[in-house]
Amino acid sequence: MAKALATRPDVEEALGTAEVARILGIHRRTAERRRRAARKPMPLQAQRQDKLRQIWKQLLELYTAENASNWLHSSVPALGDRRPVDVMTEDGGLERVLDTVTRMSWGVPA
Amino acid sequence: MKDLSLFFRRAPAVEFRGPAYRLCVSLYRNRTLSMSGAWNRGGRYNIRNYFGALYTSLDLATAHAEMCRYFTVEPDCGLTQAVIDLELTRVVDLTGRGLLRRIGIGLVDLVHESHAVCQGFWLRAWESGVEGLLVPPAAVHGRKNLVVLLDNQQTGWSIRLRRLEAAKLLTPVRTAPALRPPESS
Repeated sequence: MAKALATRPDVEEALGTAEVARILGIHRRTAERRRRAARKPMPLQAQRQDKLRQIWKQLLELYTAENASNWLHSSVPALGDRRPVDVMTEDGGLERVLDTVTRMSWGVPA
Repeated sequence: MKDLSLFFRRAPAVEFRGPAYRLCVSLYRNRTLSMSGAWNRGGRYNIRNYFGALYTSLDLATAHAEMCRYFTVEPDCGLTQAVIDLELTRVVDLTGRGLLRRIGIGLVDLVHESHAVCQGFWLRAWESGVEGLLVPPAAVHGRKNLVVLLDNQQTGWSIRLRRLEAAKLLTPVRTAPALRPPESS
């Protein structure tokens, strides 16, 4: 794990398949099968996956992978003291976290 | 529904001269005044891809406190704080209850988690040529943020970046939880 984090892992490696499956709203085994077979997800899930990867990419501009994961698991006041990993499981949650990451990068407090 | 355009055209406006402060990650230190983030993703006082705004605070501690609401973990790429000298001729102060009551919103709406509540108001402010809005920050009670609508430059208006410097968040950031242990397979 530590070695993987040192080499800038993708979001699946950093958060784990179970967490990513929870965020995408799919079963963990489905996520594992797709990952092994490099199969494309359904269109809606593909959209969610793209957003999650976008969030991760933006976070890696600010943080090491370890701290990006720490941020995703911390209670963020701007998200109502909720953890981004929990917010992202909701409808519109990925968009909300993406907004939050962009705003914090650019200094757009609200 | 009140005529918001009329409200903002007639609202008592004040001049503002003085410094304002803002923080962004060092990655964007050369684009501190660009409004790019607000333009691309929107904010409480602007609408994405429609009009931008420059978000500032009237004191440095408030600027830091605002960013502490986001950065529960200090960014590894570093932060930059900017001191900006502003001269604005038409600023509407919305930090008092009286003016807000006239448009039917409360101070609490200006710090509410949902930004959608008020965005229609700020669209009218922008259309009415308001240069800036003094608003309450979500992070600190009793202080002021200044949202500058950079599109609405009028005679006598000026903005000058006085200083950019590396910064650490002044308010202690909360300790983030340790990394989740690897999944058992």
